[in-house]
Amino acid sequence: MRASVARSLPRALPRTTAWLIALPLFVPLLWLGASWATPQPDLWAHLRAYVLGDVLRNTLGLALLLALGVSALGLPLAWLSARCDYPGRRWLDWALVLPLALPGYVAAFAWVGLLDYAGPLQSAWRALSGSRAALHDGRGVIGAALILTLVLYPYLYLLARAAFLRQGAAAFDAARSLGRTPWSAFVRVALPLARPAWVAGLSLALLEALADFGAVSILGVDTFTTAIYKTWFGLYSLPAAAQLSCVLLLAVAAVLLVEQALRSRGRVSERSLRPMPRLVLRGWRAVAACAFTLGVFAFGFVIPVARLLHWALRAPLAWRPLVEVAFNTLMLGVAVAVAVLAIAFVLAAMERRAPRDAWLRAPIFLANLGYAIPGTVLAVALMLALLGTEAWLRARWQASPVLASGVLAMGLALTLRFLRVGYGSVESGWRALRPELTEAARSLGASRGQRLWQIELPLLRPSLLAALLLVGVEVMKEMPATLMLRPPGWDTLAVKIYGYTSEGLWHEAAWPALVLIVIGLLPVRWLVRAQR
Amino acid sequence: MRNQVWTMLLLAATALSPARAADELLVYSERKEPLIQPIFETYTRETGVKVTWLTDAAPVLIERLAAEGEATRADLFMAVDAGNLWQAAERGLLAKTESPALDAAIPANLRDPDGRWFALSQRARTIVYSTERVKPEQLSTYEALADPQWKGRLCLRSSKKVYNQSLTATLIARSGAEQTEAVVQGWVANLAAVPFADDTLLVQAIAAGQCDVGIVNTYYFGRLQKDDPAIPVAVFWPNQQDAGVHVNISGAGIVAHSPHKEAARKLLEWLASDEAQDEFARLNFEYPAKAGIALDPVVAAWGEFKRDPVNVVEAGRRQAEAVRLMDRAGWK
Repeated sequence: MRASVARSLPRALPRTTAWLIALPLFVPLLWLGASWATPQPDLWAHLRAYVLGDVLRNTLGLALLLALGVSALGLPLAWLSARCDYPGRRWLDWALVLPLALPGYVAAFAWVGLLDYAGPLQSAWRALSGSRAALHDGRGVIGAALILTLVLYPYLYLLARAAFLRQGAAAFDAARSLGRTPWSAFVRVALPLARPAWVAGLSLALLEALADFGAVSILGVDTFTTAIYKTWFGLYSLPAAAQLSCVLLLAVAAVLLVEQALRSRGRVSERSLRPMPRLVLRGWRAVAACAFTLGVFAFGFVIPVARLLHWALRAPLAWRPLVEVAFNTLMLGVAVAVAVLAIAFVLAAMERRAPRDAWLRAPIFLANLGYAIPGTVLAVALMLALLGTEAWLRARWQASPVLASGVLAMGLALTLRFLRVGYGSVESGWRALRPELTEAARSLGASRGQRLWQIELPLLRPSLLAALLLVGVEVMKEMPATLMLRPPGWDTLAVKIYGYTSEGLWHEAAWPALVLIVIGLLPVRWLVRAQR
Repeated sequence: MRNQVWTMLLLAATALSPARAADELLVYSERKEPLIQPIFETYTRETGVKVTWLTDAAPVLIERLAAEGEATRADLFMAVDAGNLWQAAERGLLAKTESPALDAAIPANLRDPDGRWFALSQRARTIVYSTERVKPEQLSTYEALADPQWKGRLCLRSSKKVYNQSLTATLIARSGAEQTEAVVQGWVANLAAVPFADDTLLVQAIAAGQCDVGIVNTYYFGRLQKDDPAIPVAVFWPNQQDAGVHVNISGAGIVAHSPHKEAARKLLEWLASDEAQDEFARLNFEYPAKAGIALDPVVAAWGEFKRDPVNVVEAGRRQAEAVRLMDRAGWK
């Protein structure tokens, strides 16, 4: 009896902790689920007949093209950066991450401003050709997939690059010595070994695109998320919008389960510690590698930023308010990133101890779903729940706390929204940690604390830093949840950008957008250094 | 290093907790910051009353007001569409305001019959056309843009925008759902490009030659015309022989549970004063809600026109119906 209690106690503690941590996320999830209590048969009939078909086609098409695009850029770039050498590689290593600093909605308005009929490119073409015909203006599913690929591929690039860097030389060498060409060894050995990173990077990119509203609405693509907004804002039905969000969430949960299955199936422990020598590219190979990487960098970063600069130079600049807002943005990013890192670390550490404990994995899985809920939906659910709690506290205890329009609510929403980004990075770090090292330390008599501080943490440092910086960048770019939950009079750069773009003031939006990019550049630079 | 981190966090905590004075007014506004900041700053300068604002989409602010209930700290609700003001009033979120000054300043069709909200500016949604490829004689009404002669020549903004939803709603009020749906289908069939994300892009598309006619709020065109007086686009006032031009409003009402109702009423009355009306409308090339206020020269040059006299409430009441109609007709 006593023995069984003693056995179950160490299990109960992590389980309870995980459920407690995940609890705040259940609030929006439960709120979404509760929306089915007010059925909207009439609205659903309308949505089914006229909206959903189109929206599903667009969403699926976008997801598919994006998966292809992100893989086609992210994997080869990661390989070139981690395993090859060609002129200019050193600075391109980190330059290729820079598009991450560009929020999707900013890239979208920069590209539309460049490609649309009235923009500089098509105007020049008309002047040259004398034809009035319209060329493709970047709007539509294909354009949206291309533009989003250019800002989202860095997720896969970063994760795959880290995976390739971790791979030792043994497997690759074995393949080569068995007569494989470098290309074939890459496809047959290195890629399968990097599959968990591939799947993780892809799922980050896809989830971000599914929850995106700003970019796709600028690019004229009706996706599931825009349908949710329209149902709420146009048809005035918040319950139906919440129900649509539930459907989106179920689809995303299915994708995540597939991801988990794919990741755990291919668990290969790479044992070689000898680092792999880089493949030095020469001749046409070096030229091709340079052209490819420079091309991606130009399209992903240089061109849209140049467009913004061009706009900014024609708009008035008010420095002082911009500096204050930039400071707010930075502080928010730091605070939320630290919170996410702490939570992600605890959750990942517990899951590592008991990887098969379903009662532990369930709350972790649920807590990670926040990334797939469109920001506004997540925020409104949280806001309404907090306001409800305030009202209850007032009625019951005559207390008047301010929960919903404070920093706390905003921090909570952003933590929930981006937990997955941090968790993915921390968890993959734990996975790459070979259990033998801790086992060895243990057999030598090291205590749990010693193992953590002297072995695990130093080895995990790159992953932890990556989590911190990725989440920080994401939080600073986030718009809808920040917009809804910020305290009055307290703005971030993303909120400023929204104020201008939603009024069609594109030139004025360029300054805050550029400042946001510059602030995002710092963490991005550190991020790549940390991986080295 | 560790000390630096702590200092940063401490700074973050202090930066994140803004203090508010007791007599400060809080405005929930759908009207975006660039279009309200100058006017509130003028008010603070003149009266010493500080005004803060929280901007977001009106449906979000409405849910927030509803959930906050009696505990709300908001004093004024400001929206840029009659539909959203109507919605807020309908849900009991706005207080009935008795103010002879407001009743005198704002025409009856531009305020709530029950006095819960008042227009502060008018926004005409009208036809703009290319002066190079269209003669004004070819134009007549909104409905006539459904004619096949405009095939491949019409540009529209996305149906997600409330301005188009209100326009469609007033067309329904005017000529019934069936006829309106036929008109909207005609528009969709005539489109030269995927609907745009905003009116500025649309006017630029006409100027560049992608399409010949479009429907926009005049102030977007006003801004572009101010920057480039030679822009080859002009305003046309449709439906002058019948209902008149569709006019939406931006307006405000006092929040039902505002903690500073008296101060909020003063601010609202000031916003309807000659001085504020002048600045409010000029800021963005809009039409003042109050009669007899001088127009910005750019706006005045477009001339006088007949406005649809229907009370703007109609748009709100029929908005959901309008959205469904637009969905059915395939307006993206």
